[in-house]
Amino acid sequence: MLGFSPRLVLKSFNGAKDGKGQPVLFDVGRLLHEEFLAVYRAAAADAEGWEDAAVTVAHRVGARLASAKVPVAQVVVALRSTDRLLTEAMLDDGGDARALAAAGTALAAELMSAFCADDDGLGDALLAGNAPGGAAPFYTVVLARGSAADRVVSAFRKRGPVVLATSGHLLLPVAEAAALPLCREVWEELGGEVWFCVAERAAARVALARKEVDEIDALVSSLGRPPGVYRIDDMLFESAVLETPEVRDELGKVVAPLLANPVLVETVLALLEADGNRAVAVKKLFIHRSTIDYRLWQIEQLTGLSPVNPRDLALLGTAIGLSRTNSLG
Amino acid sequence: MTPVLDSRLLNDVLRDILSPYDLPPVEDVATRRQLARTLLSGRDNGSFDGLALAYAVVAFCASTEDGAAEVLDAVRDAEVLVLDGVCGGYLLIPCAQDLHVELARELHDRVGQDVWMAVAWAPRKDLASARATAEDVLRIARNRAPGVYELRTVLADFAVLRQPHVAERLARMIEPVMAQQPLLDALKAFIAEDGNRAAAARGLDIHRSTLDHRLRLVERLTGCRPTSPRALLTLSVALTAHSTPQVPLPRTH
Repeated sequence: MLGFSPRLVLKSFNGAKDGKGQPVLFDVGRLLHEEFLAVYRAAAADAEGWEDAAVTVAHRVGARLASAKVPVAQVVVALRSTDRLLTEAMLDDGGDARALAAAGTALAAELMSAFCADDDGLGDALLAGNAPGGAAPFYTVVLARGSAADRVVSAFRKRGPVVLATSGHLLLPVAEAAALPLCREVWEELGGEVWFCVAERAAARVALARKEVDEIDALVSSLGRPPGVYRIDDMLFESAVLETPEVRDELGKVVAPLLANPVLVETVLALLEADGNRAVAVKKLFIHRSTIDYRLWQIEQLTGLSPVNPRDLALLGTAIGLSRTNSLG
Repeated sequence: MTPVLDSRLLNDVLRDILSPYDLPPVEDVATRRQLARTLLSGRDNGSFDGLALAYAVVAFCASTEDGAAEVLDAVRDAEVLVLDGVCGGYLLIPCAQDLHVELARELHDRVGQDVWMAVAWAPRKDLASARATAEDVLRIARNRAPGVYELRTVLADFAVLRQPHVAERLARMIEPVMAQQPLLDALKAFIAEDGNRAAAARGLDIHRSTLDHRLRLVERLTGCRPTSPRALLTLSVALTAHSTPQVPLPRTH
């Protein structure tokens, strides 16, 4: 891996913003270098009390960087180069290698924990409906399924600030229009085998965004949708059905006889996945063309909905999906 | 004549058995109309004697006043309560469960072609919600061919119509297509032909590849690919969300 000089790190920092949206032009590499130098010196000499000094300094610097919303990934780069430069300098002066390594670890751990501790409280407060001072005007709540949480978090962190909540929701302090491309990038980076559900609200209404992503997630998973990035717009029809008791009840009655027959349910889902193309569905189901025609006829007899009609087919698919969440009457 | 029961005349007893409903006479249109309005608005406090236990609520509208008058002529029956407006109205027809659609179809067969009917069934205490259902079903039906409709036949559109925040988002999504008539025509024809491209192109008198091109433009504008059944359903309910007419029904309260 290529090393970064502090100068290069400075340049890459011009994009960082403070709470008012003003660019922050301080040099993270130099800041770390200046603040940590005394700690490394003390450690190299194995001086009394260097561990306590490391914790205090790293905590202060970490809090400052976190409040300036400096992306963590960039802090990590600066931290790595600072550690390398200072360790080499102290080793050259005949410092204690083991104590230097311990100092680097202690500083890094405390610096990062300052970042994370700040996040946790904020995320939970926002999801609970409180918007503390210092919160961004808008948040896009992201719920990820299908990938290890830490992989998802670090992929987002590389691209900008992320607030974590203990519930597992991620909050990106940006509007949905900006969050969607980020989610798609992360989705690609993670190999496309993950489901993201996203919703945006103003800081004071983040609780509603969470409710929305949970609803989208339940729909996406019960309807068996493929991995991807989903918004409520992609599930509008299903959520309208769920929220209308008359329709829920009637749809429940319409599909009840179908649900009792797993073979017919499988046939509907296969045909839906084939965009209504019977030839494709037949291959997938390993059955004869005349068999599927007979099954489709049966489905129409049982439900009054014709799977050959694309809109009826979609409605049948929705009903099957919703029945799996026990949402129908 | 000899008294047969509790000193009452045979004719009187027979009339009570054959016509147990103590409704105002057919000629008293105003009182019967008021009774229908009371039932449909859910203000039935159970004090009316002689009403049926359950009704088919038929909301209807016609393209002309004569068409609406024809419906009213077809239901001149002492048991049917009517709340009529200019080109539409409500009928309350005593009816057993599961027979209401058949009943409405028979009625529709007896009138001219340009009449839309929406029918819902409910026990007397639930007539207000049946009326609201019938009204919304009729609004959806008015954009389609004349005939008899029920909730079951318009489930998807009904759900969207009942959720204004969903309807609003869908209407916004379809807006760019509404602004381009050839795309709108292509989409409507494709929906009307149940996704059959050849038939849709024939109906519009355009080449099939022209239709495909227009459907691709629809996808680009809305993010919904018309050849996917789910997306086609979404596009179709978005059209409903964008332009569902009000229907000329009388007010119930």
